[in-house]
Amino acid sequence: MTYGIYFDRRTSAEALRQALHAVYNVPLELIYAGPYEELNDYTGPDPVALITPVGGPFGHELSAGDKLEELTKASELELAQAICRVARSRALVDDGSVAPDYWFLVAADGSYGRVLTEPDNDELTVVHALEPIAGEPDLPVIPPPDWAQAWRQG
Amino acid sequence: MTRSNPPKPSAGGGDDGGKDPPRRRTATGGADDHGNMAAAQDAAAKVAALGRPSGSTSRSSQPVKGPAAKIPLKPANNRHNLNSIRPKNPAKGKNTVVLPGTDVEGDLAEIAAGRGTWEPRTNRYEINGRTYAVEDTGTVIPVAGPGFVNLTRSAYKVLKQLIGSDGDVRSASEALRRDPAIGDADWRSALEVFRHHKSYRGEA
Repeated sequence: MTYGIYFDRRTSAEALRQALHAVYNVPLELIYAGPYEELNDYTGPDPVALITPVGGPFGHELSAGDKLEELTKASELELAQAICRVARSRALVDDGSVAPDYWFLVAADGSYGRVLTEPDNDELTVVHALEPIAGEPDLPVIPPPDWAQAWRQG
Repeated sequence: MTRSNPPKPSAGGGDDGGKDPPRRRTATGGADDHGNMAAAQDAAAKVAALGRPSGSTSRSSQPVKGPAAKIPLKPANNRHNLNSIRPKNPAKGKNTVVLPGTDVEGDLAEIAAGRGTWEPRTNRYEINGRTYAVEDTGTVIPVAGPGFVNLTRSAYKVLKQLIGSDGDVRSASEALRRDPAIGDADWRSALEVFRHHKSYRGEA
């Protein structure tokens, strides 16, 4: 299992790192926060999670693999919800669909729902919600037609 | 985690079980030229005027079903096309890569001409062995079939690094050396796809 969660850039990387440590007791030295290009220069042990800057409003990417799952026993969505609650942040998480522009937006209270992001943009930017999200009441909601519900698997 | 060299690719194709990449019907302009609706409509007009395009199946036209009956379908986002993938493209858990030469525009033209099969249960079109979902904008999403390769998030990350390194495999390997999400299987999948990329220059 891998993790690829994009957190709101208004939250600091250090706050996200501390939240991951506080909620799941992941040792701080195993959470690298910094530019990806400088990871090889990190003097600590090989990290189990990375928090690296990316462009756009969701400017922190938390990436990890099986070792973080072993430590947290949490799914990607569960992890994002827990960190958002503690750090009072928001995050975009893979919704599991084949659509590259459909994501789950996790609000600061842990509620979540599908949103559409700007197509073909390297920087994840929310256009509107596809369904109501309790913690994001001001976000416009435009449900897609039935045939565009790309998350349906049959 | 430490790695010195990425594994050599097998004869496999991404996550598709180790078989050679499927043969693809090629497009005049190539999928990576990523033509516009006008091109798709021109192709649809040719289909309508001349009958089946070369290489198509023997299906006869039917009334167009699904979203193509309501709105024009648009080619997939560029991030799907192998030669248009950018190192900063966000990755999802599943990422479909369209290999060069895959005739997506031709598929759209055939769908517009009533030769695609719409499956309302899954919200997918099927044409020429390939399946597509459709976003509310009409943009199609390649899902599976000949010329499409599904990569995991980590394999897609390796692929992006290879592209960003302009085909320098050793440089990409060094850049990803301590990434906890990357494993040998991701390298194998990514290299199989990268062999089709314009900047591929071998695995040495």
